[in-house]
Amino acid sequence: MSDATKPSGLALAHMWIAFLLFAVAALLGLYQVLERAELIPVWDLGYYSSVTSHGAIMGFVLTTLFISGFGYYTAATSLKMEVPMKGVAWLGWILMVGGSVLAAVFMLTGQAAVLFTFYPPLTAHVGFYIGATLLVVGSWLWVLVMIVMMGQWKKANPGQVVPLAMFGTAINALLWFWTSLGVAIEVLTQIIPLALGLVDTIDVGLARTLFSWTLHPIVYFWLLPAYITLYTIVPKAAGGRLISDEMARIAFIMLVVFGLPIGFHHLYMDPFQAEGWKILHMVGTMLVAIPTMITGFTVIGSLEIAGRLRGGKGLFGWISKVDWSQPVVLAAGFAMLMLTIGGFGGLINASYSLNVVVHNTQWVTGHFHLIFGGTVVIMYMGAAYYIWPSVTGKELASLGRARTQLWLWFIGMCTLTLPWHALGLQGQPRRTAFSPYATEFVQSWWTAEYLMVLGGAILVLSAVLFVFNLAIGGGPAASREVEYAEAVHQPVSLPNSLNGFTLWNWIIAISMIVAFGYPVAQFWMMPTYDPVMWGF
Amino acid sequence: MGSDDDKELMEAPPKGTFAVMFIYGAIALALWLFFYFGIFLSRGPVN
Repeated sequence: MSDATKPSGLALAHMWIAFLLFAVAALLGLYQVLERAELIPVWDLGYYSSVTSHGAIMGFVLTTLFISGFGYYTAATSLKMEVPMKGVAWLGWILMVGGSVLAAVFMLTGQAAVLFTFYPPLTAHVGFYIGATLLVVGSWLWVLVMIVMMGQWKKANPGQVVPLAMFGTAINALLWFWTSLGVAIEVLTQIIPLALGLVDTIDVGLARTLFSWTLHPIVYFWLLPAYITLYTIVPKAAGGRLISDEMARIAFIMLVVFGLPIGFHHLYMDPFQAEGWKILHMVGTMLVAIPTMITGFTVIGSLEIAGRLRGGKGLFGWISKVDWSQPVVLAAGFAMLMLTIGGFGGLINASYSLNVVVHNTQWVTGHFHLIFGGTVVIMYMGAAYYIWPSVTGKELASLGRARTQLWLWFIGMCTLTLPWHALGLQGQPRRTAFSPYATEFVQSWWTAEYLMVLGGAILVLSAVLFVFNLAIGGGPAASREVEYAEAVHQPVSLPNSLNGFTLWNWIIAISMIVAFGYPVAQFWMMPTYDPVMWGF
Repeated sequence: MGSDDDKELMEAPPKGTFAVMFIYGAIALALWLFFYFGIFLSRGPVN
């Protein structure tokens, strides 16, 4: 591949903004745990503004910008072609960065303390919602470029197998488009009119239903680049092969098809959806365990191949033979460990009955930090370390420092989140600045809360070290070539269903209509009543 | 190691992976049952 086809500028522009804001959001996280542990004065507005900023930056800005930048990189390098429509791609970047800055102004000045979930009737300054909308619109331009790029490649290479890295990137673009429709409809038709004062009331049930459309599959949008790295980079970096290319494609497809129509497991305790719909979504949620287990099997199997090729013997002897000195391989090991713990937590959340034990407690915060901060972010870090020499033309200055940073992230994340699971089982609520009740009971939480602060401090140290490692440069000149893992049996031809998305788009459309059609339509079919004054 | 040996190693059933997955599945099932019977049911109905 010539340097002209390298998307270095686009990739770096997206990823640098993502990582710089990530470090800021990590600092806000430390502020929040310090306040929750009452080690600094309680300041409600500061806390809720910080929770909103931390969540929005981590969940929307870091992810969307990293995924776009990483997507341009994997698309160009795996297809070995130049990113088309560069002007559109850069316009997308401008909208994403501009929208993020606009939203940040209102979050950081206390005018948008509505949490990153936009939960009405909490209402922020309209500028916050406009900023978020620009971010999403900008990301849709990335979706467009990815789909066009895959189409152009398929047209130029009829009958050829789309490289796995591109297949994963393009299906993630498709997933994001479907995922973001729910929140886009909510924000444009309900929340912005409310924030502008064009309407006096808002149907909270409808808003939460539409947000639940987005709220769960967004996790798979975050997760797919981690999976792409696990499937297409880690086996290569570990010195092995991918155990099965087809298995990876099936896992991507199942994750997208099963992962979209399941958002009601966030609404188990909400009254406006009937139990039958919740159970339907619960079944879908449980089905996601299948692609997750396939991924676990495929990635661990690929590492086993790498370990055995390096002389590993016996049932588990290959584990110590895997080349853990490669940062992306070490990140994969940590990611899989945290995915197993976080995945189990998700199993409890998704079980309709068991959810009542942990609903809206700190358990949930522990769960999603293990999945997002653990599995997703540590793989973003590993992926960045792997591709950085290729995009910058210089090796990392120190692989040892990169490994230290990943160890700190793993230790910090476990120290932060495992006590949260324990606190959640004791009933500690999440998203509260302080707990001014049952003093003796609350005091029993202190050990766990101090551990939480320690974990937060380690994570901030790791986040700063991560940005430092990428920024410092100084390594020797690096090859700009990038190699993706080959499968043990590399496919030479595949059915259209494993090489394109037409069939899956139709299945997704039908399943979304089934899962959300009536639950959304009912808000226009049921009588509604004016609010009743408190005390009556 | 010769390429034939490599091919044989790569095509061998991933026994270690099956073992890891089985152990994880067993632990997850046991913990789920503990949560259901040991925590959820033992706490009784919501008052």
